[in-house]
Amino acid sequence: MHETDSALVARARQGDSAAFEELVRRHLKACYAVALARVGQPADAEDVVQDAFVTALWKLEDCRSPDRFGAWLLEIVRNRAHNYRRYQSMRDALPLTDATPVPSGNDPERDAERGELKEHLLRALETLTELQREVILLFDFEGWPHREIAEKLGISEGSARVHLSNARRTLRSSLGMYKPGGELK
Amino acid sequence: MTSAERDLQPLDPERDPVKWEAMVGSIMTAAQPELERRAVIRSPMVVLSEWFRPAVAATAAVAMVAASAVLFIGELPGDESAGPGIVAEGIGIPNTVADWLDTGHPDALDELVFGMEGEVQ
Repeated sequence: MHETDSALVARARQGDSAAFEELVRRHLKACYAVALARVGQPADAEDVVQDAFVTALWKLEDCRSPDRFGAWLLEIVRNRAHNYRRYQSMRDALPLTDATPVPSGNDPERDAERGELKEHLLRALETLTELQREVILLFDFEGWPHREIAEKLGISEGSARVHLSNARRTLRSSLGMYKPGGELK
Repeated sequence: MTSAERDLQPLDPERDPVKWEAMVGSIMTAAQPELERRAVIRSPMVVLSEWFRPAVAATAAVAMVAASAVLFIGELPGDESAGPGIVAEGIGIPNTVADWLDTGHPDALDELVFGMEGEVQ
């Protein structure tokens, strides 16, 4: 049975580990998409997401509308990403495209190709605005309709459409030179 | 919508189940101390406090209603009728007895008996 976010939040407030894990699984991808859009680096996005979930758990009593837990959580992700970026800039972090892909170990050639593709995608993402990155990542990862993206990001549905369309155009233009094994069109 | 239309799917963390589970696992590990703290602090005192707060609010509401009622009734004209004599009269006690209750000094015994007999008749 599909338990509502509201019910899961109520249980998580009482320290119910299973309820919190369900919330994590339900919202992890959207959080990751927003974090990646903000920090640009998968490993950094993972750190931000973890930090955001723990922060959310600490502040669970501040979630006034538990049925809108997802939107509240994304706001925390944005704040944590902002802090993370500020901290990274103070530390003179590595450039966004210096990501080292984690090999799966089975097929080094394929791993290398995947790593190269991800690197190209991350580099292309940098050419988009922050909002365009959020919209396109939520759309591509979660497959959310424009209405839901607009609601979660606090923009109009029309604006979400325009951002997605512009992002797609810019992205494909940036990736135009790259056609490995026909994975991209 | 086909997957080919989703340019950024190769970056989707769920495409790698091992990595996905590792992400969930690391979040749960980081969250564990706070989850344990929450489970522990839900002691009987916490449960009691959850009852206590609404009980205080309800008591305050009842007190306000009662105070308003007392003030309102107190302002009604002719309310001085609440003396024991009037109450006694209201429940059918003879006038002589009522006077006795009012003044605290009984009349002569024969007048009292006479008065009571008169009322009864």
